[in-house]
Amino acid sequence: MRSLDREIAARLRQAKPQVEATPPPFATVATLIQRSESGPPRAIRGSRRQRFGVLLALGALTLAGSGWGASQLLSGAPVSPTFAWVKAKPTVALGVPLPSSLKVLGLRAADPAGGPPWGMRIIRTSRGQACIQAGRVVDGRVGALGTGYAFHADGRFHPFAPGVGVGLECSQVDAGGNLYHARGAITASADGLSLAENTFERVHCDLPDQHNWGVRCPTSQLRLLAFGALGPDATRLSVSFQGRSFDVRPYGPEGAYLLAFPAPKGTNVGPYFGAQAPHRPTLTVHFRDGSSCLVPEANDTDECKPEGIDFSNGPKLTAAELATPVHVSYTKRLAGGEPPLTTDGQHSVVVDPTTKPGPVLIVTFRARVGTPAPLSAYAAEIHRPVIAGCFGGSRLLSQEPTHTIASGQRVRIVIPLQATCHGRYAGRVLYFAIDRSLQPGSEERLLGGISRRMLGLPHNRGRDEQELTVGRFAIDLPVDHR
Amino acid sequence: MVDMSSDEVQAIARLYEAHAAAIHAYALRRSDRDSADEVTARVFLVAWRRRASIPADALPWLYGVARKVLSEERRGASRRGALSRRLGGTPAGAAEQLPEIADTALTAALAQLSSLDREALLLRYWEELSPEQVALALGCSKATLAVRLHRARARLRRALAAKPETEHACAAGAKS
Repeated sequence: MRSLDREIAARLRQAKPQVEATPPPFATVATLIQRSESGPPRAIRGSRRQRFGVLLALGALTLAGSGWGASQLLSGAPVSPTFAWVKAKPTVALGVPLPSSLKVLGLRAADPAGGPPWGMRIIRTSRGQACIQAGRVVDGRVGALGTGYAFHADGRFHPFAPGVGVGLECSQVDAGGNLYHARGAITASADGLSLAENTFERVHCDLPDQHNWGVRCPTSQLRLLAFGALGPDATRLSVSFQGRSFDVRPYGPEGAYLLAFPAPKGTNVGPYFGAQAPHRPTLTVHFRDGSSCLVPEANDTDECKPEGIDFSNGPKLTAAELATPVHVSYTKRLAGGEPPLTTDGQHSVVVDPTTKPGPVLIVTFRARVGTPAPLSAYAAEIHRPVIAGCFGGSRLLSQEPTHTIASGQRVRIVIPLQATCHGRYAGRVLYFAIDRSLQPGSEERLLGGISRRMLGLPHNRGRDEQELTVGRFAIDLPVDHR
Repeated sequence: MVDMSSDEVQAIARLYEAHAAAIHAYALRRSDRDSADEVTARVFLVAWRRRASIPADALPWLYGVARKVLSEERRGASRRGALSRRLGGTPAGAAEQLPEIADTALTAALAQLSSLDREALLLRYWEELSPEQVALALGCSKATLAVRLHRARARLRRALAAKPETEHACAAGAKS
């Protein structure tokens, strides 16, 4: 046994990655130490000229009022979309934002500390999603303020470009173009900048040029924001928070709401930077027919069926309506294709993407039913043969992004194999669909459902989810490719 | 304002000089360079905040902090990843990132261990800590650690034996 232990130890030691450790200079830590000991944020940094500008801006921000315009706050560089959206495609996943659809709502909420009010805008995407974006409003534009830690505290207003924040607060509109996207309160930085990104990513306060160091914001630099759209038939939103209760009338045809609260003590101190606040408002939406429901928290599955929104994704399909011949071919060397998920039922590995040509299976079929929105998708599943000293019967699961596929369109799924062992590769093409949901990000349910199904994890498929076999295929590979 | 010439800051500076490279290497073996820089700085910020309770043998304690900071960093990245998956349409379900090593069969076998078992082995054989130091880093007793290490080695051996060649092993030998 001891010799076996020594073998294992030797193998581990031999595998130790050799790295060139060049830690950052201690000055970096010293800066963090200074910062952690200095308490509240230091808005005033940099040259005297910058400080003067910041002082002016801070003075301006203390003025109350709703008519914030260019005369009071200069515009700074706009906030650009994140890299993910630079790569977005019109027919993939959520699609791309359509700038012409951008609508800034007239709804405003005063900030607890004064200054430009909070507002919101809605933008549609090429795949039928509607995304809500909140921020500070100046001159009818939604953006962020150069105060506190944002934008080197330049005292300017930084409008969000049309695609900024898209993907964070999106839901599929119904056939009538109505949106229901209701969320409980989230923690945001008072400057509004955290709303331009993943809200879990930047509700922390950074020194200039130090993005995402994870320094937690003082509570005074945080807000609790609740915003959403309740559809055309919502009549009021009841709000209960810190011993106060009041009603809000939904705004406009979208039934929009927007609430800004000071962040309560204890906000943003959870294990994640930007974690949910310990105490949040309870929001109850009331509809024209007298029904009401709680606005769900971030991970709450409680659902209700409001009026005015059609949550159906159309009539349920049958396997016969989807059945179509599926073809598969093998190519020894081809580059591209999404790396598949590999699972043996207990363990799963996502192989890193590679640009190197290698063996692939190409699955093709003609889709009888289209996938116009991220509410339905096709996927391929392959069982690999059990070959001694090879794969041991694991499964490959295609990870194609959800695509817009027209009815009758020929679909091609390329599955990189990394390596092959001889034998029979059998599989099938599956169709997944979900109905719209009150839950924001319903397309995640679709993809999550596919993952769980393919990983063999418990999957309580609800009435609003479908999983059907489109067709089966098999191919014999005569040679190993290792 | 902290007096940077104070004895307390200088003590942290000496600690940094002595151990920053080891912590940075530890983080580099488990993340990218940017994250490793950040993790290293944050570990010593934690050391500053808890300067009153740093044990005499500080290195295992620093590894323990680094492990937690790295874990926190991964959780943040995982949430960011959730967004990119959502945007890119890739199903969720990514596992904890494992160190990149050439012995891919070993990677696959390590992946089958629990996070604590894996960490115990890697602290012992990669960071070359003594069993006592690994126990300090993981916050368990020496006896518990001895049992954990023994079982972890056995599990790793079984995992390697169960799959003498994995897909990765095949891929590593690919002629293409």
